[in-house]
Amino acid sequence: MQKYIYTILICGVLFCTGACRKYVEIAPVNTRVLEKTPDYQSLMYNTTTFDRSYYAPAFAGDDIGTDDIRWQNIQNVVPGNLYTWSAKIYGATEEDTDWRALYEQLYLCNTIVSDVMKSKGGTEAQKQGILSAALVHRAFIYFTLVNLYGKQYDAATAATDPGVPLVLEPRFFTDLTRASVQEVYSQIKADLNQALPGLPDLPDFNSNPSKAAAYGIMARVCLHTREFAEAERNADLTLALKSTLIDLKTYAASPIGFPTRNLNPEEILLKKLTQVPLSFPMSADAISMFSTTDLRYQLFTVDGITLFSPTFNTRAFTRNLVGNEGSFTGPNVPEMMLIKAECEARAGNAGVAVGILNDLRTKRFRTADYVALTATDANDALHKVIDERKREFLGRGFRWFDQRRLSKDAGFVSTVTRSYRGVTYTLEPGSNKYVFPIGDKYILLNPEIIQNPR
Amino acid sequence: MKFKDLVRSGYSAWVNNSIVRVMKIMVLIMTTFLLQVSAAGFAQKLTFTRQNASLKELFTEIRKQTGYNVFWQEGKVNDAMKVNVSFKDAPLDDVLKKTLSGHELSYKIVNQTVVVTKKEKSFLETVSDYLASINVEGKIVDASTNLPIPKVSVTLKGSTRSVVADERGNFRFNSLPDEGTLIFSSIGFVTQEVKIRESMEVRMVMATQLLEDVTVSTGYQSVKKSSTTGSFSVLTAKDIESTPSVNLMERIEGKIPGVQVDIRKNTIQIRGVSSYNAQPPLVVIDGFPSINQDLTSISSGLVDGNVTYKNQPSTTGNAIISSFNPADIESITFLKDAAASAIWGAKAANGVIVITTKRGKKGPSELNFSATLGVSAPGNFSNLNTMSNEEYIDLERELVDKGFIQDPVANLIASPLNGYRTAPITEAQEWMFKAKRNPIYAGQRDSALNVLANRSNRDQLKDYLLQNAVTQQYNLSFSGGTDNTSYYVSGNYTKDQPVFKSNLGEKYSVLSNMTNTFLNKRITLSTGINYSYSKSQVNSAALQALSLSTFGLSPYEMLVDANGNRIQKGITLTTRTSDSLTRIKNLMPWTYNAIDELDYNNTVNTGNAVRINAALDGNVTDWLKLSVSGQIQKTIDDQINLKNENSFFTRDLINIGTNPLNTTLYGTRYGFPKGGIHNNARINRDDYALRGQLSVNKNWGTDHHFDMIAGTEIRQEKANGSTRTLYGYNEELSSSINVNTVGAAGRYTNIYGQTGIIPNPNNTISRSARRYLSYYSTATYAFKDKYYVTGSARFDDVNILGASRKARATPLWSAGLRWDIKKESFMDQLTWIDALSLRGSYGRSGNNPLQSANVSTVSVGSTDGYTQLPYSTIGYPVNQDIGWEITNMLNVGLDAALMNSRLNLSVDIYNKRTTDLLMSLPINSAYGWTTLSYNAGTLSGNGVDLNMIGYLMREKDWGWDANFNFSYNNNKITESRVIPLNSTGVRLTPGYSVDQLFVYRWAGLDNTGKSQIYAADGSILKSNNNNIVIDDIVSAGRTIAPYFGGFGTSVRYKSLSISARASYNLGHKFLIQKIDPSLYPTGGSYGGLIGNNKALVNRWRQPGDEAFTDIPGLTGVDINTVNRYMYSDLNVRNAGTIRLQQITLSYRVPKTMLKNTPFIKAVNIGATVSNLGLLWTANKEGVDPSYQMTDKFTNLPPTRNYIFNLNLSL
Repeated sequence: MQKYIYTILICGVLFCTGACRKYVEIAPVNTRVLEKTPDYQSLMYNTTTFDRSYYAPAFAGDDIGTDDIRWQNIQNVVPGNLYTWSAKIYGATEEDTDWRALYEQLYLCNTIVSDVMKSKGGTEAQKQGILSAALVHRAFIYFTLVNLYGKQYDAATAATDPGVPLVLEPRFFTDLTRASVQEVYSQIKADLNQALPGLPDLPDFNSNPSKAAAYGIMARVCLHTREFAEAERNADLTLALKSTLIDLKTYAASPIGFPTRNLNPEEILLKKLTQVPLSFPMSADAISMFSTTDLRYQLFTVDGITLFSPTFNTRAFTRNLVGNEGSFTGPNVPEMMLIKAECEARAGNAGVAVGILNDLRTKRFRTADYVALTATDANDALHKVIDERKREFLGRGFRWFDQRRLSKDAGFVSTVTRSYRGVTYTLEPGSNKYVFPIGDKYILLNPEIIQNPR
Repeated sequence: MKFKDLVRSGYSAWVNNSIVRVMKIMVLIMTTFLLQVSAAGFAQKLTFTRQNASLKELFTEIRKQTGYNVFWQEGKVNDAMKVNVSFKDAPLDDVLKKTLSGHELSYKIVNQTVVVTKKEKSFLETVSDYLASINVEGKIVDASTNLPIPKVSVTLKGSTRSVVADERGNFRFNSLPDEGTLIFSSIGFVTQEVKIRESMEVRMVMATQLLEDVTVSTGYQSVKKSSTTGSFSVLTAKDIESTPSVNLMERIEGKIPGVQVDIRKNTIQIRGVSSYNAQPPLVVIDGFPSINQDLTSISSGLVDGNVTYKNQPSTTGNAIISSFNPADIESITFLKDAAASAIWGAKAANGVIVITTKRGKKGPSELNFSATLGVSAPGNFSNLNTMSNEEYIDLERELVDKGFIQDPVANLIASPLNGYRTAPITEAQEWMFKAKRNPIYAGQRDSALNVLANRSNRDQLKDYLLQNAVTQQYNLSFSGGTDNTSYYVSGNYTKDQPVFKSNLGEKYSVLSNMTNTFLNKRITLSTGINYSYSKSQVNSAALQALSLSTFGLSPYEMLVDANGNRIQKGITLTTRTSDSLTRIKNLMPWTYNAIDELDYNNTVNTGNAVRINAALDGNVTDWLKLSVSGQIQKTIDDQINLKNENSFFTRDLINIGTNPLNTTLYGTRYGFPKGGIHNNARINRDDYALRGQLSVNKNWGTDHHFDMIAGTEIRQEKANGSTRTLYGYNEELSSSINVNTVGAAGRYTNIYGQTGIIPNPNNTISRSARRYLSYYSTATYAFKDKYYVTGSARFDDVNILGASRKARATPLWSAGLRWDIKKESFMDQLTWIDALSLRGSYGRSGNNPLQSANVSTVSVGSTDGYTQLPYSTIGYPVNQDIGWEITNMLNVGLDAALMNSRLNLSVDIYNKRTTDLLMSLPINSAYGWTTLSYNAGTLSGNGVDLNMIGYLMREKDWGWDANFNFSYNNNKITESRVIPLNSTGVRLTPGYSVDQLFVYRWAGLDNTGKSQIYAADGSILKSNNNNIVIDDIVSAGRTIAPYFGGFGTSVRYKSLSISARASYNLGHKFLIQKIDPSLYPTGGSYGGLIGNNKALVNRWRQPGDEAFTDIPGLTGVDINTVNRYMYSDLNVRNAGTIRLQQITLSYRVPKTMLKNTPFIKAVNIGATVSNLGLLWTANKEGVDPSYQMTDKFTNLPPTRNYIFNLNLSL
């Protein structure tokens, strides 16, 4: 008996002392070291990270706003600052929503770009596909960043205008000096060109990058750099791959059945506003753009008074509430059509331009209400295109970027005046206020970042 | 007509229930006891009774009954020697010992054979016997009173020879060896060993009065406190019993120096912080880390199926469940410094709390029963610092006038189709709008508002939503032991009913601890089983009705009308609209009454916990011991939240989801599935630990003593959690509806014309597994019981993904010295010092960087809601620089007992320094992350722990003692990579402590009622100026008390005693909160109860008001104004308080009164009043800093709690 017990005791002690380090070298569940190709792929499938684009332009653009004190009373500090183009938007310890969301995606893109080709367990083609997808996202991110925090591209000054820190590797504590606007644009184009060979023509889901998306982003980029021929060429390449429009007539009676975001045929690469405000009052200018028979007006806007909270006396834009899936900001079919139309108008082809507008507008009216547009000359056609952009892209921040871009064209952007809680604010075309300030926190942490002038 | 069942109601029902409960406990105890009792039947047993039996007869009987052969030396052992034997089921060992010892015989058991030999004296013994045989006379007195102690037993050490002193404490002991030692023992006194002298006066000390007597448990071993070099504090069962609260934390608060308990936040901290991510101390139960690291759980938070979830209370008033049954705890040892806690390695950097459960003691079995009943009333409304009704209506008027509130009627007129959706408003607001629309109602409005101003709902709130808080605790235990077996079995039932109706917590637990010894006591098996079942219910209806916002009631808004009918109010729509929608459009009823909701939307938590432990100890030789021990713990926590179909939440969801304009009269199609919503979350945890340990305990001569343990341990913590949501749940049928939430199928149009989405049922699984491997050792060398040297070392390894062993594991160690000064000869003269020793220790402990790794890791296991493609996220980014955080701690302590141990004193001074502090370092989010785990600073800390116990009076009938403890703790960030940001509140700043408060400097309101603050250069910053630099913000002091402790006293007269306890926290600051952004009317929602702090009465209203008020106005108010007001030096107050915790009166029924019931050993009854409030507070407003925001009912300090308890020993 005694012997047995001692044997047990000694064996027990030996067992425990003999417990070797292998015991603690098992992997914890549901996490693993990032080294396999499928894991890099699944990082790219994280749509809740990659579908975020920007937030600030939605409040700063001239397509929204109301003087109704009830709406103004409940706005928080940040929307209030954006609405009044304040010299500081965020408190010194606060994160800038846009800066953070975009650079967070960038870290993932950079991780993939740096390491996916060295990953294990995938074919060369798979790795190339993942790499290309990351490059497309990276191009979109930098295009958005440079247009939020940098000056509007101007070929004459782009090489010296400060853009944003160009982080291309997943490394911490590197120098964050702002690259010039030109350098950022060069990187965007290089990324898109490098990505193209590895991409499918069309994606399996519109949240994943494709050739159509790469061309679409390139069209938008070239429109901003005023390379209009190149913009039109890329818009054409996109439309050749994807050109379906949603016919709003189908949903005239009820928005039930409106395609969910992943099935939306117009969206080429799904991106959306990072935050959607509860309710969006349309500015007087925006309201005046619409005829009441426009289905976009009927389906996507309501009387402000009917909103749950807060109410206001003007019209509210509620497209994001149809399907409740956000306001999309990525390259899309109507955008490609309107880029093509704009380039045609700028090239003097008024008829072609208006023709494209009418192709779009037939899907935006009941047959009985549809009236074809005509243009007297190329300049009139260009105005009509820009007006159509106001209607099509209402409340999605596109207008802010157009306001910046069109300050280079005479007669398109005028001074915006706003009254907010009893104080009047103005925004002149080409003003420094068209460039958002960089968050104080980032300058405190990295003093090499210089602030934008006001 | 109502009938009342007299049997089932009121008092008699309660008695009925408690009997049933006690019976249940009995059954549980019996079952667990029987499960273990069979383990005791190992040893060889003998039953034999005979007068004048010969040894030979006995030996024959032994062979017959046990199968053991007996050999004896022919001729030397007289086998015909007669003995009287009477044994019943006695172990063989006992039989031999008892029969042979008196006859100079000894025996040995070898291979089932008993060998009996004649005991032979060694040569030395014979010589010394011859040389030194002296006779001793002496007297034994009580050290404190100098009165003789009768009937003390005096034994010669190393023999069985003993005498008993007479009634006057005198004894005589003949023919003793000259060099021998006598052992004096008597119940109630400390056993004492004294070297033999011819004439002796022995002073014995009462057992409870000596520091030295305490045994401390490190979890790995039990050691005498007098031989330790570290800083240990022990809370004994008696100390724990002295506070009869349900909450174990309350039983600890203020009793241990250096241990800071925050009842409100349910946190405990030992000697302040030593890292940024303030980890709680490690909780150890019966030698192993507990699966439940909270001493107390409070049933308020939601379990979300996430296995990393940790329960934190958010409000007062929810049911409290102690994780460990206080009645079963033998002792709680707090390991405070490195020498004490280094044995626990990486987990010990923040101190260790070692809980030991009770075990049986040798002796007759004992049955204990105790019952405790505590009652306290809900907080008193009159203590609320709120506006009068008149002032409140005036606030509403300003909100109405300034356009903060919508007029539903006006909206309906403006837009007949859509205006019906405007949110409802209060009665007062309705009158204001009515008069606005048509001035002829002005007169009616004024008289109506006058009625409202004189109406109060406080009585109704109290009657219908609140109840007295009642706690009940019942304990039944029995314990005892024989030579080879001891047992302790207990059962407990606890019920806690908080003040908010429909909330409840209860817990059943059983514990069975057994100890068996075998083989001549060479093998000891200790086992324990602990099972507990707890259940709690959370209902927020009462809480919401008393809180601000939507569901809160305006002060004049009643719950029931004059006829006792419940008043239904509109929440989403006005009652006028919702009633007609219900009538015409067949929608569900859409109104709300808080009393109705007490029955619905309950969250029920059930917890099952099992803990089984076993330890097998074997004595290889008299100085070497081997042991193997292990513990298995399992918990299953289940939470069900049922939003019943009739709950307002569900009715509202269904109605909003059903667009009445799109439906026909009887064909209502509900957009949201009709029926209840059933949410279920479950977490299963499984822990096991296994340990092998070698102990050495050896003396070399009388001067050298060496004590060492060394061992190894493996441990695994595994958990998995899951959540599940069912829609359209029918309680009667337990059925639910299949709902497709993907794509168009999960979408509906709501009354606002928007698309609603049925939330994904989110049926998730979450898992985790963690493994530990440790090697440890600790050793003590003692020279002449005067000088002690100790050392310990530990190596911990843990599974961290992708980390090299160097990054995962690091050796941690400690070393210490102790000098027992009193034992030096030069102290003999100082008779007023009874004990004095000095100790010092130094050691290092640390935390491993669990939150980061040297490679990038991905978390997988989720699929995208739209594409159903698997997606992953980067768990931790690659971080090559991350390493261990190390805390070095130096401790010097002094223990003394003075003046016949009337004053016991213990002081510790410590200094600690943490290097390579692990923290979430804020980085520029341009790097992709906002924070990064990083070793980014150095923190130093120091402090003093002082404990004093005084026995001021120790007479036969009278006793008076007092105790006092004091702690000081400070910390300072000495070096930091963190760039301090210009924020207010608590932030990390080099040169300051980690809990430092920073505030703006208030410069008054401007002439528009907005805030102004001073910049560093003295200029004034307006509320729209965001250009604040770091120097504009100043330090206001620490937020955690640097000075804290407690004191208590107790007076005894015969069997009656009265005691009182108080605790104090001094030297820190707090921000008195009058308004804050969540209470100030800036939140966008003005439904229900609006922030109604009395301070708002003095708000700025018009230019010029800024001359006499600092409270911002409503006009054009912005968040900056409210924030800068709240976080300014204007509101900084001294947070020092002295709190009277409890007064207890207890009575022990004298033995003489129990004469007629001899089976009752002792009866104690007690009455306690606790939560007696503040004795002193440093701020002039008289606010209790722990319970401020006194305009919220949920924040009122707890009211007096009256507790009655009864203890019965059989």
